[in-house]
Amino acid sequence: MMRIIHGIGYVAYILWAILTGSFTIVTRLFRTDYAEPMIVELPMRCATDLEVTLFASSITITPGTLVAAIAAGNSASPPVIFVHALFEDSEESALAGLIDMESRLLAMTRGRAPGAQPENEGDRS
Amino acid sequence: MTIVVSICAIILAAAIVIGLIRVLTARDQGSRAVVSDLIYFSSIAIVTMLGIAVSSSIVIDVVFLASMVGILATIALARILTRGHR
Amino acid sequence: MNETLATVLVGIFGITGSLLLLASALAMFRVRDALSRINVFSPATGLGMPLIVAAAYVFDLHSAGFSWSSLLMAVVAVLCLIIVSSVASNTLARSTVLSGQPVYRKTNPNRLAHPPAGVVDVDPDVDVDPDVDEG
Repeated sequence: MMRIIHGIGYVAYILWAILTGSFTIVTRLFRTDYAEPMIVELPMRCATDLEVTLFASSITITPGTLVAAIAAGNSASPPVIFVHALFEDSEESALAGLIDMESRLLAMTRGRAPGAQPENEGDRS
Repeated sequence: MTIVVSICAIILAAAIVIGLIRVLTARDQGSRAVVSDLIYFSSIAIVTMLGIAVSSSIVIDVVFLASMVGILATIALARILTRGHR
Repeated sequence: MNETLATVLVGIFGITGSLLLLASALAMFRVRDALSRINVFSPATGLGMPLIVAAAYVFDLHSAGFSWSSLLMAVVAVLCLIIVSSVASNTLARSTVLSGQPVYRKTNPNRLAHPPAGVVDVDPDVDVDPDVDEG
């Protein structure tokens, strides 16, 4: 039951992110400094294939962020996702937004919000 | 209704022309692949507007089918970019 | 639904969606590399094309009346646009990176080229035999 409530909240969050991101892209057209591209690296807490696929699709459909590559995990390190972000101020703020989205996604698929760090933390954390 | 549809079609045609100028001035293959996607969706929108203008009864069907097969051209261009490797 | 309301709704949805497509086309001139162009294209498919579908559905509601099949087709079309365009962008971005297209040189930080500070990039699944001299 909690998963359905979290799922509705997650869909609303994604739709709101699409609206505000599109608004950002349109209003930035009239500024001189259009974009500051960066590629950030995030060790994922998602474990199963379904979670990784949903997370990658959610990142890509949000205007302003794009999945460039996914590195598979192994026994000691979590899978790593490389995200191309356009309108973020710094690497820390980009990672904070992605971790917030991932927490909402995991609350939907697992029924409760997970901890802040990857569970099996390896060398690339 | 006709005036509104004409305005939409003119805006979409402007988007296609801008995309074609982008193809002419682009230097890398990836940009051309993206612009082809933009032109595909703009064409679908123009066909939709044309259907509204002539009061066709299958406007929804056209948009439905076109949105479902829209992935194929992009996937094919992605395979062409990597020259057949996955 | 009378004629005026249908025209106004089709106008609002259609013109907003068309302007979003035009804005995406213009934004492709403001960025410098293929990854950024794939990135700024997502409002066109994520918000612009669903608005065009909404305009078509309003026109269908006005001309043919309400039916469950057309409502189902419109909802599935919007869902397909969002999910399919996301998967297509993922595939295109991945093949762009894999085929070595140039990335804009002011992309900073570029974690695909330089790992973060303090990261040692070893593969723990590979057993390193301590007896073997690695020359």
